[in-house]
Amino acid sequence: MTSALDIPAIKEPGFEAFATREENAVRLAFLGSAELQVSELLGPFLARVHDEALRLGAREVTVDLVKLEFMNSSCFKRLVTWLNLLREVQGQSSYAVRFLSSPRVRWQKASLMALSCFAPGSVTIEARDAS
Amino acid sequence: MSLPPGFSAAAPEDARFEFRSARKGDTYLFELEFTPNIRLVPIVRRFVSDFYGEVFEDAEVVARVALATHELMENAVRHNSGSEARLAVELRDVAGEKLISVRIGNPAWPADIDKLSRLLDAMGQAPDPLQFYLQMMGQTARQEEGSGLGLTRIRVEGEMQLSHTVQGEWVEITARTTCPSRLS
Repeated sequence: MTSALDIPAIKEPGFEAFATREENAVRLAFLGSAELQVSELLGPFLARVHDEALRLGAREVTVDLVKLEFMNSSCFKRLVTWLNLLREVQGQSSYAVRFLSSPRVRWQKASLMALSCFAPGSVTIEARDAS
Repeated sequence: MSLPPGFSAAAPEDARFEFRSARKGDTYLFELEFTPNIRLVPIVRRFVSDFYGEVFEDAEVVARVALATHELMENAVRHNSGSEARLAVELRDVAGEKLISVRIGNPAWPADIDKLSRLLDAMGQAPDPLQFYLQMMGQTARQEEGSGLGLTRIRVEGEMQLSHTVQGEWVEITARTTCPSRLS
């Protein structure tokens, strides 16, 4: 991964999402509360993440949800659409998705479990404490 | 039981709502009548979480109720054919268990009522709720609008049973769950 990462951040009242590049990975961080108002922005953001991860040959995309208070079903659906794109990528160009979740934010456990069942083999979940 | 003053202060200026809360014995009730306003939804979700978090020890259950409250309210705002909606969140003792229900009512368009009825029927008949959820996720992945994921999420992630009634254009959806009595 030598090129620059080209994923514009989302900065809305109550919600932020941004991407950074790490070695052979892309790291995303979601902060605040992802609700109906940001759903329309999150779809293109994640589609861009997918394109960039493939372009840069990333082996992993890490999604840090530790500081995400809530995610509604419209935004959850955007994650589903993204993982569905990933399911369609065959072979070595594919990448893994690792969600970092907070044990204190209880909805995350059930939502991430559902996502890991939806894209088995691609999704892992790691519990992290908010720092 | 009084509501925290922050509830009204946090509500958007254009939001119109009336709320009541009461405790009778081991029954806790929170009712809200509101005009559809999407910005009211997270405020009510946080309030329900705080309100029931104070009286109920099980944070897991409180989180499930908050999730159901959010998704049902958002549904009532998005699919509202009129200008009103009613929410009731109740926690009460039934045969040594706590029965928790989140009920929402609003007027809706006939096409949306049909869609809702079909979804809840299919959900009720599905032998495995998780498989049904995964199927819904697969179907919705390419849809731009609407998904039914919110209600399925309440069923699977919130572990709540869903039912509905229809009277004319008024639709009422109820999410219920029970858990061991552990009121603080």
